Amino acid sequence: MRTEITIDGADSAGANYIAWAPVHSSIRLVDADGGADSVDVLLRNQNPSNGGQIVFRDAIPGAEQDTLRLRLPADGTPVDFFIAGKFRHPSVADKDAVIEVVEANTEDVLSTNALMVRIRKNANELTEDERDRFLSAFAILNGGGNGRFSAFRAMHREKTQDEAHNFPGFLAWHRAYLLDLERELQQIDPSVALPYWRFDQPAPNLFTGEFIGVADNSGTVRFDPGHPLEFWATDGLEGITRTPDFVTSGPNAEAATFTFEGNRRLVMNEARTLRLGRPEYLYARFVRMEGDPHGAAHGSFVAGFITAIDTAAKDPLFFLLHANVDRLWAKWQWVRQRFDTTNPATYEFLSNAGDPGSARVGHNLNDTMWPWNQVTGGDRPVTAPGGTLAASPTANAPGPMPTVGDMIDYQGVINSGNRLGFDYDDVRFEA
Amino acid sequence: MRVSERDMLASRPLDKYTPEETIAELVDAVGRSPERRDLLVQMLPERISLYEGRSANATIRMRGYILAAFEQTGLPEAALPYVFEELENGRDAYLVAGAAKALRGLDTPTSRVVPFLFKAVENIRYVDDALTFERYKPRWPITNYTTALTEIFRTFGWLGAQAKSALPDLEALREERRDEFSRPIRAEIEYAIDRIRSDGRVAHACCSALPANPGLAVHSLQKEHCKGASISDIELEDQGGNTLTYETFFSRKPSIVVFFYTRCDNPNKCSLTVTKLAKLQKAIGEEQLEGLLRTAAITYDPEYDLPPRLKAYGENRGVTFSDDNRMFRARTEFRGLQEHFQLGVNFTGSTVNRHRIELFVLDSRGEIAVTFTRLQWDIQEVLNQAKALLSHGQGVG
Amino acid sequence: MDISEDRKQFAEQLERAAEEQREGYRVFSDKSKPVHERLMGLKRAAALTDEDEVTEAVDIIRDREDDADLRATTLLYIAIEVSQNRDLIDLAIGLLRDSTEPAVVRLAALRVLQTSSFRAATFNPKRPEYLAALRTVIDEPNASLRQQALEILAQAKDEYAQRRLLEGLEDSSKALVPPEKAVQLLGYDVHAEHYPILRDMVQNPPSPEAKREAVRLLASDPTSKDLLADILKDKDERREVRNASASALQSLAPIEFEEQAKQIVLDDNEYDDLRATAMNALTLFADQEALSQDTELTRRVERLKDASPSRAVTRTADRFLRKQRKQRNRTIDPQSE
Repeated sequence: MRTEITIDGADSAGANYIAWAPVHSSIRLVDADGGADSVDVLLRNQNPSNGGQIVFRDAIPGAEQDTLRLRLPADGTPVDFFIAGKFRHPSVADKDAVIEVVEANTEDVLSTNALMVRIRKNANELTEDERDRFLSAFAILNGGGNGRFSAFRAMHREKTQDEAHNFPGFLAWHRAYLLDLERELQQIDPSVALPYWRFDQPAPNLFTGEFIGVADNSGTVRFDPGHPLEFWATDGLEGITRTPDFVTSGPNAEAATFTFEGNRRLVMNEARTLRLGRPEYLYARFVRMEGDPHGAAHGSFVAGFITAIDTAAKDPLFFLLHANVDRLWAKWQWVRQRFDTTNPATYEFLSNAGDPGSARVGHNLNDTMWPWNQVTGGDRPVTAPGGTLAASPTANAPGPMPTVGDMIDYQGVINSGNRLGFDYDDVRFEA
Repeated sequence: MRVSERDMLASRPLDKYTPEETIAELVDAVGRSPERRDLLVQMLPERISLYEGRSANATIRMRGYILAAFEQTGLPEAALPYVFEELENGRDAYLVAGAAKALRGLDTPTSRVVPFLFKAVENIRYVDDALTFERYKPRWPITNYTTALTEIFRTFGWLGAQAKSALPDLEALREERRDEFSRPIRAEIEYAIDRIRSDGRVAHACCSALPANPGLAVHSLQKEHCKGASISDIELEDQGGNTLTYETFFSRKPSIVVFFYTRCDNPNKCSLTVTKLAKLQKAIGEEQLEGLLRTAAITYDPEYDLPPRLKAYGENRGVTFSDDNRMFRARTEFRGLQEHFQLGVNFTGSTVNRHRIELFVLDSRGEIAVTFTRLQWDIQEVLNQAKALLSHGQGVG
Repeated sequence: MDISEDRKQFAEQLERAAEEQREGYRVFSDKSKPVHERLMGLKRAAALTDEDEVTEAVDIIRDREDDADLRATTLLYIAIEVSQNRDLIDLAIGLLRDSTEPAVVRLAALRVLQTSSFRAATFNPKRPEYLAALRTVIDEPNASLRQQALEILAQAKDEYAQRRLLEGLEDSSKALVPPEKAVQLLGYDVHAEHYPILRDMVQNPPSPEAKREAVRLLASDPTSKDLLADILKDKDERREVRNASASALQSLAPIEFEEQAKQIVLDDNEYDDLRATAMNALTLFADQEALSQDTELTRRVERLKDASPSRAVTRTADRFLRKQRKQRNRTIDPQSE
C-alpha cells in the first residue's frame, strides 16, 4: 500500500515549488490492503529541523498545522488538502522540503514528496549555494550580452519610461518585470528565486567579489576570477560601472547613504516607508515611495549604470534593488490589508484608460501593460521587446498579458487563482 | 588658418581630414551666400568621406549645424528627405532641432510637414536638450539656449494657416497634456496656436514641392544587369554560421533585404526595422507567399555582429529563421555590398557612426528593383512591391 | 508566532518608529538647538513628507544665511517632494547652477535632482535645464561636483562632455579627470572616437589600472582582436590585465578565445585566476556536447577540482564538471533535466 500526492502546479519534471500562499493538493491510496474501507494517514515534514518546512490545512480558510491527519478511502478516491511553506522556514536547497506520509497507527512510510519552499530572500543572508545558483542562472540569461537578458534591458530605457515610471502603475509594472525575469531564470534553474537588496541595512555579504561585485578606484565592478558574472555584457559593452556612496563591506558596512562633503543622508528606512499614505494609508500616497526610498536607493551611488533610468537595468544590482521596492509594497499590502482591487485605497485608478478621470494608458487597473501586451506605436513605444510575460508551472496567474490589477493580489488572498507564485521571506500570507 | 570666404565657397574637397571648424565656417559662409545652398545638400549623404572616422557625436554636430543653416539659405527639395528623416525618427535633440529649423527655410509653408512635426514631439520630449546654433562647438555656460521642442513649436507657428489641421492636437497638448511640458514650452505651444489662428492666409492643400513618398525609389526593371562578379561572390554568413555567396541567396526569388546592426542605439531605426521585418515575414505567410519570397537582414557591423549576436537580436524581435529567411554578415568584402547598394552608412574605425533606414526589394536576379530609404516603410507597401515582381515575371528565375 | 501576535508586534514596532520620527522632527525644527543636533534630528525623522514639514524645510533651504550643511541635508530629506514638484526641481536646479552657493548645497542639489530623474514624467520637461546646469558645473573647482556632473553627462553620451574629455586626453593641462577615468567615461558610448586612444593607452599605460580599463573597453572594438589575443597569451602581463583581455576576447572572438581558454586550463604553469576565468568561459559559452568529447580537458579539470589550492579554481572546476554531467545525462536521456 502506498499513497500518491498530487500538488497543483508541478513542472514538466514533476517538481513542485511553493511559497507561503496555500496550494491545493490531493492524496489518494494506491494498492490498498484489502479489508478496511479507509486508512488514516499522517502528513508531516520528514526533517522538521532542516530545510524548508511545510504546513498543512484541510480547508481554506482553516488553521495551518505542522501535521495533518486524513482519512483516505480504500477505493483510491482522492482527498483534498492544502499545503504552504511554513513562514520563516524557507528551503535553502532544491527539494529539501519533504512531505512524508505515514500510516497513522503503524508509522509505516507510505510515500514521500520532495518540494522546495522557494522564497525571495534577503541577499545579504543567502547561503553560498543559493547565491551561486542565482548568479549562474543570471549569467546564462545574459549569455555574454547575447542572451534573453537583452530584452529585459531594452524594456527599461529612457524612451520607455512612461510605461513604468511616474504614474500609478510604477509598482505593478516593476512587479511584473521582476516576475518575468525571475520566471526566465527559473526556466534555467527552477530552484532560483530573486533575492532583494535591503538597502536600509548594511549588506556586507552582497557587495563582495563573490556576489554583486566590488568597485575599483575607477568605478568598474570587479568579480572574483571564475565568478559567473565575469563575462557580463550589455549594449556591446563589457562589465558594470558602479560607485557606491557608502561603505559597502567590512565591519563598518552601511546602509545605502548619500555622502557629501562630510554630511550623510540615509535612504528612507522601512518603518518610515510603511507609514507613507497615512492616515488612511491610501495607495495614491504610498506610491510616492518612487521618489524615496526607490529613487534615493538609485541615487546612493555617485556613479555608474544604476544612477540613471536609461542605464540602470544594465547592472544586476538593479533587480535586487527593485525586489526590495516590491517587498516594501508587499509588506505595506499585508500591514494595511491592501489586496482587494475594488477598494480605491488598494489602487486609485480602478477603471480603464480613456475613462473619465483615468490615468495614462497602462496605469489603470484594467489596462494591460507594455511590453507584455505587445502594443506598439501611438502613445506606446515603437517596439515591445521580450514578448509576453513568461509562464510558470507553479501559478496560472497573471497570464501572458497582465493588467495592473493582476499584479495586486499576488498571494491570492482575495482569490486563490490570483496567486503569482512568489513570496518574500518576511512578508507572511494572511487569509 | 582662416581661409577667405571665396576660397571656402569655391569647389574644394571636403573629406575626413577636414577639421570640423572648417566645415562649420563653410556652412556659415553658405549662410551668407544662400545661392550656394546646394553645397550644404552635398554634405548630407552619410556615405561621403566627410563623415569617415568621425565619432557619432561629431557626425551629429556637423549634420545638425548643416540642417539648421537651411533656415537661412532656404530649404531645397533635395534636402527634404534628410529633414523628414530626422523629424520622423531622430532621437538626438540637436539634429531634431536643426531639422525643425530647416523647415522654416521652405519657400512656401505646407501642411504636409505637420505629421512629421508631431512625430518629432513624441520622439524628443523624453530626451530634449539645451542647445544652440549660434556658434559651432560652443563652450558652456550658455544662457540663451534653445531646445528641440522649442524649435518644433516655432515651426508650427511659422506654418501659420498651413497648420490649421494641427490645431486640435496642439490644443490637446496645451490642455490635456500640459503637464508633459515645461512652462516655456507651453508658452511656445500657446504662441504657435495664436499664430495659426491669426494667420489670415488661406490654407491650401498644395504640396507640389514635396514628393508623395520621399523615401521610395522605384528603379527601372529594364535596367541592365549591372551586378558585378564581385557582389555575386561575396561570402555571407548567416545567423547559424552557414556560409553561402550573395548569388546563392539573392537569386531565383525576389528578396526583401534590410540593413541594420546590433549596437544601434536609436530604437526607431535598427530595432524597429528588424521588428518590422519579423512582421513582414508573418504577412508573407498570411498571403501564402512563403517559398516565393526571401527576407534578409544584413549587418553593417560584420566584425562585431557574429552569428550568435545576429540570432539573438533577431529572435528577441520575433524574426523566424529558415532557408528563405536569414540574417547575415559579410565575412569579407563588406565594402562590395556597401558600394553595390550605395548604403547610407559611415564608420569610425569599424564602428558605425551614422546610418539611414534602408530596405531594398531585389528581383530574382538579385538586382535592386525598389528602395525605401530614410523614412519608415510600410509593411504592406513593401510586400506589394515584392508581389509586383512576382506578377511581372520576376519571380522564380 | 501566530498571525495576530505577529501583526501586533509589527504594529508596535511601527509605532515606536513613528514616535522616534516625530521626536526627530521636533529636534530638527527647534531653531534654538545647535546644527549638529538638528542634523541628528533629521536623521531620526528619516524623511520629511508632511506638508508642514516640507514647507519648513523649503524655508531653510532657501535661507542663504542658514548653515550650509543643514540646508544641504534638509534638501535631501525632502527628496520625495522634490521628485513630484517642478517648482522644487527648479529650486534645486537654481542651487546647482549658482556658483555663489556653498559646494555642499550644490552637491545635495545634484544628488536630489538625479534621484528625481527617476520620476521621469515630472522631471523630463526640466531635462534641458538640468543638462545645461551640469555642463556649467564640470568646470567647478570642487572635484566631487565636477566629477559627478561629468559622470551623469557621460552616461547620457553628452556631446559636450565627450568633447571636453577628449580635449583633456590630448592636452593634460585641460584634463578634468585622470586619463583612466576619462576613457571609462568615454566608453559609455561605443560610438565615441576613443578607440585609438585606448589602443595607445594599452601600449603606453599611464597606470596599471588605466591599462586594465582600456583593455576592458576594447571589447567593443573588433579591430583590437589581435591585440587582446596577444595580451592574453603574454605570461609576463599582469593577471588583472590578462583576465580583462579574456572577457574582451570572449566577446569579440568567441571561437578563437575558446581555443585559448582550453590551452590555459591545460597549462599547469598558468595563474589560477586565469584558469578559473577560462573554465568559467567554457562552462558558460562553449558547445557542451563538443566539449564533452575532449577527455583530456575533462580529466585535467577533474584533477584541478580535487587538487588545486585555489578556491576559485575548485569552484569553477566543480561548475564545469556539473554542467558536463548534465550534458552527458541529456545525451543518454533527452527527457532528463
